[in-house]
Amino acid sequence: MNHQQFESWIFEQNDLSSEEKNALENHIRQCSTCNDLNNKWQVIDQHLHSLSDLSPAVGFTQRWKTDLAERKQQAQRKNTVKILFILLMVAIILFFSLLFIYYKNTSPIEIVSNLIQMFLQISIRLNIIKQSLIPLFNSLPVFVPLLGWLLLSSGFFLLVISWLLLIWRVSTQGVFLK
Amino acid sequence: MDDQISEWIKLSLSGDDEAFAKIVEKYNKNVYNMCYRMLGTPQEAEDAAQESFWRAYQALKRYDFKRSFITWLLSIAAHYCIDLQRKKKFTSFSIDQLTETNIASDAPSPETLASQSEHEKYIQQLLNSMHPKDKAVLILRYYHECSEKEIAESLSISVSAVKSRLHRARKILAEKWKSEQEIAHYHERKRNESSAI
Repeated sequence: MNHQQFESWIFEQNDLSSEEKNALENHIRQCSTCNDLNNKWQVIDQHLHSLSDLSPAVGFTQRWKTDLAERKQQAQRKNTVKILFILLMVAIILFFSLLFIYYKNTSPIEIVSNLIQMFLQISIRLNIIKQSLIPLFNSLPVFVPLLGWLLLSSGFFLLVISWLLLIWRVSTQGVFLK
Repeated sequence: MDDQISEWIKLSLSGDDEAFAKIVEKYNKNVYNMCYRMLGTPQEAEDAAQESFWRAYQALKRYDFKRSFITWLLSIAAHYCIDLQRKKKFTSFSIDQLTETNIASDAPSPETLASQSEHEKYIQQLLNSMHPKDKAVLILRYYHECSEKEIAESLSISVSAVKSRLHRARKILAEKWKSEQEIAHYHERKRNESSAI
């Protein structure tokens, strides 16, 4: 039998049959290298089996709970960003698909001329609105007192602030569902 | 499997985080010990144990009730520690370099050290110098007393691979192991060095 086999047996003495154990004992008596290895291994094996039971610092479970809450929040934030990104992508794809369907039988020159026409019409309409609103704003101060203007503008300002806060909260902390 | 553990797992799956906290309370020592033996420092072991429980929490729906829960949990911890050490580009060093390692910078807390024998500290130093997977096999076999089949399942390797890794790990330990006198001398020298500083 080769030397390598005995070396393996030294490490696995609990799994050996009685015949194998006898063969190993005989070999160890004759071979000084295997005898040394066996002596060393007996000591190591004993120490490996008696490794002490270490404990984490006190409060491990509490730290786990805190950690879990933080990780869940992070996961929610990631999810919100992911959903917003998907919605944005869907909107972009939808927009370009509709654009393609609408203009699929139109030449590029026609598209450009249509766009110019559309912008012109928008600017004309905006101008008409502006023309009709200017006399109204000129005459309004007579009917609405200064305090009324102040109240209206502060209300509008508060609405804008709360809207921005809401967007910030949803994007950073996500939406909590009970 | 323990009925209570089964119940806690089912409750956790239905969204009861307190039930999972009970699992953490019950098994934190096992997971922490696995991580400590794998990584060698209390801080790294704490972080790795927390991360292992988080991974187990996320993967709980994939848990097979036929398997031993503790083996499943330890396999998550072992895989995480192996990955961590691979990322750190773990380098094996010789026993001569090992004796020159500054224990103070890498050593467990005084409380942990007090509970460990000189031999145990020496074994931990030897473990630190081993290949992560060999080390995991050895820890699962000796500290957690897992069977070769359980180790194979935990580390996603074959039983023959477990046997060969176990043999290699044991051989490395035996080759690097110094005599009792040498270990005592080594620790004495370290103590003198640190007191001189």
